[in-house]
Amino acid sequence: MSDNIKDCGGAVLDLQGGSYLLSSPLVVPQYWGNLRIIDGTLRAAPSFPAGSYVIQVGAGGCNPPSGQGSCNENVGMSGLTLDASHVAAGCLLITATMGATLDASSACFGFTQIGIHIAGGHETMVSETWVAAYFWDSPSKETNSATGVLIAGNDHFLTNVICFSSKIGVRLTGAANLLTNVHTWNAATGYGGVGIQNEMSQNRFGASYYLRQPESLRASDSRPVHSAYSWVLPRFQQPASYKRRADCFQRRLLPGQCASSLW
Amino acid sequence: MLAVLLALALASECAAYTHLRVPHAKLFPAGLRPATRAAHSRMMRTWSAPARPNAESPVVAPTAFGADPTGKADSSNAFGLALAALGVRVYPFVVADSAYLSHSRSAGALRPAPYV
Repeated sequence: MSDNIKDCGGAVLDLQGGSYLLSSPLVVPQYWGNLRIIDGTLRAAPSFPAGSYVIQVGAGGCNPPSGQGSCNENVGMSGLTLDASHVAAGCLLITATMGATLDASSACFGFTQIGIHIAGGHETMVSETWVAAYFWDSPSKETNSATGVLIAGNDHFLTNVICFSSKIGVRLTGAANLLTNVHTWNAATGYGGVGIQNEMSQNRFGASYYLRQPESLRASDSRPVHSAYSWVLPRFQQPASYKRRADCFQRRLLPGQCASSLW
Repeated sequence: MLAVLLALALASECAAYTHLRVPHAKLFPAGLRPATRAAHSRMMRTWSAPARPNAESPVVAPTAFGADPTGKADSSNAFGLALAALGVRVYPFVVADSAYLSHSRSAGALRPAPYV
């Protein structure tokens, strides 16, 4: 594999549908690749480190010879329920990894800071996944300060992902990421929640649906983003500056028409 | 003449793809073979890739290293051991039966349980 990443031969860590309690993170070490973690539940114990994630793939300080900035490759996770138990900072941290996936009816719950944190790397794909700091029957869904998904890197993909009951559904601080069929709702509606917070250029949002949050799309970067075929169902009256963006979605403009004119 | 040329072209095209044909036994391993021609046709129309990727990859079960699948006891150490085994590609709990590795991921009925 690239940059002498260890090839684990496609081996599978199969949780066999069990529910496991962890007092420390499950760490996929730096420079490991070609492995899977599948089918089960991992739950943070009360003694779990508050600043850690239930699963941590890779680590910082990645400086491979190629200069690509990825020290793990092809790490797949599917069919997982990750419960941070309102103890751990987050459920999944993917650092400096090329080609990680989280898919197949996975879910991330109970995080205090960030549900899924993609830090650096390239081409992580998250799909068929539900992310929520709190369940919908909890009063805390209105007041928490957590972020569902933080993409702090370039060229990552969110497809068919639902983010609810966090203050921010998806936050992007990297560029050239693609979000399609992303549904955000109950984004801490009593606390200034945001569906998608975009802080970088060249990100694209398609066919997404933003429901019941004060602000559906916040773009703090003035450079163009691309958004099309999306829809907003606001819960509250929105400020005029936000309404323009909502109009852009609701009119279902063709690709490109919302890109440079409004943001 | 045109019909002959078309027939030759079609035959050539088919021959070119012969190497891509998948043996029937490979498509439908033991226990999954259709009983009738109609069932076979139906399966061929609806067949797709195995639901799980890497269907023939070696499997590491954390329970084999002492993990508690009921979620009552702390399984952190067991997961550390399981992941270490995965990393060095040593699977002492997997029975020495290549059929297990071949089929356990693709056919649940053939999967030995429990692992330990």
